[in-house]
Amino acid sequence: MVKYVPLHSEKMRCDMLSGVRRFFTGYRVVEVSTEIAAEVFDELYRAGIQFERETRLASSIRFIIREQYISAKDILCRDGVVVSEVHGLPYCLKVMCIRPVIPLGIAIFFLWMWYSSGIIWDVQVYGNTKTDEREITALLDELGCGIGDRFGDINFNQLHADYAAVQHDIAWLSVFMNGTVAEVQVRELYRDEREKHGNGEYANIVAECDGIVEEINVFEGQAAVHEGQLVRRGQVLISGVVEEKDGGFRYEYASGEVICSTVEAIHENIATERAKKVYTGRENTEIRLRIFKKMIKLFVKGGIEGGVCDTISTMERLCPLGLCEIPVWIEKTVSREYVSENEQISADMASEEAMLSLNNKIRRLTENAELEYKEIRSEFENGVYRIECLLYLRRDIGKTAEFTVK
Amino acid sequence: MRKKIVHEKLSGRIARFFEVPTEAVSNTPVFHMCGADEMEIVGCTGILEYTADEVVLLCRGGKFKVYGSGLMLSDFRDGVLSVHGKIRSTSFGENEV
Repeated sequence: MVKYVPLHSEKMRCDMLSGVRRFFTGYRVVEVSTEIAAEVFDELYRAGIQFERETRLASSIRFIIREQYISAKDILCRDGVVVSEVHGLPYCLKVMCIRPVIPLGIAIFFLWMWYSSGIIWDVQVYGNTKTDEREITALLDELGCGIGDRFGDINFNQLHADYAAVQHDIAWLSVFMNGTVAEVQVRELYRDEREKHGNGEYANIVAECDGIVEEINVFEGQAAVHEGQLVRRGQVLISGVVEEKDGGFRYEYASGEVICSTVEAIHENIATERAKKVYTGRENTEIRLRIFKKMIKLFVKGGIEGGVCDTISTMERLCPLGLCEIPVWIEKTVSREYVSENEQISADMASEEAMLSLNNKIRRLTENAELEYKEIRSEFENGVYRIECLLYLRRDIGKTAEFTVK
Repeated sequence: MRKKIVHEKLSGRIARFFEVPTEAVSNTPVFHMCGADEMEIVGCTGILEYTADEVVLLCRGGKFKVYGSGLMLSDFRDGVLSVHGKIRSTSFGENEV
């Protein structure tokens, strides 16, 4: 039976921690010319100085010597030998002593990582279809489970109970911490789309403007007008008081639609001389950084003193490299100073603007109505372009007017 | 010289008597070889030549020569010296020059 005896160097190779030890003790890279290699290595060997990772180069031999064998410096201080600066931990300490900002920055980074690891970085909501995510996160934030809150302090059972008590649209809610992200699972209640009315609450359908009735569709209640009838504003179109056959009556919450022909008069005035905003070019930019719930004012650029300004404020959440959103927002507020100056425009331009504005009004009015025809009249007088329009619309003019019976 | 020979013979005899390796009771150099790529020398007292093709070591009892290519010395630990590289041949003895 052959007994395996490892070579001495093999044992050394198995020393996995030599690199770590070398880093902590510090090391230097030495290059010895081949002409004096025998002499140098002989002295190193006789002095019992260890070296590692030797490599033969074209005209020299390079190896690493640990800083602890500082006595070798005498051996290595000769022509043909190049000794590098110290590497490893001593070098790092030396650099840190020269530039204390580096270790300070590293320390702050690790301190921040340690601190922020117990903080909610993001809240993600799943399972909501009707309730807005912002509404849920705002409510959770009020209950102490928002971005920037320490999740170690949250009693999640209590949170679920508190949330269910204030938000009635949610059947149940569960908050699960996935790292520093609060994942919120919600299940919404089935909401009956039909309106519920309290006891003793009833309603009529009344006309919101004058018109001639063309069509009546009663869903609940009793029709109080007939087709072709002229109705005035406020007149009951569908009554919530329903007569019964025996002469009695009952109350209902009237609903339905009453399609009428109506006339709508609109007008637009555009003056050829008017005030106009002119920006002076002076701007004020304020950048603020929001980290979790802390707001830090970074800097203010420019200065406006006592002027009238337009202010635009934007807030963007940081997303480094587009990978993930972090709980850091940058708020930018830009104020631009302006002054009012009189502007003179031509009559043609005034008419164009008036038509544009009128068309926008017509578009808004005909969103829920059918335009049968329209009459337009325009005039230019005393520097004002005036345009008048009569719209003949076909639309539902009924609106609900509630009443209470005790 | 005669004393030395007697001493060596004596150490050899003691080692045989106690059934222990000769190197345990004397300063005899020991050479370990692992294939043709690696060699360890215990009991080396100095380095005389060190090139890529030839390494000459001073040991008790004479010079130890290693011939090959890309020869490298390494691991000067615990009195052990390692030679790495393509080892072609070795020679050892008092008559080596």
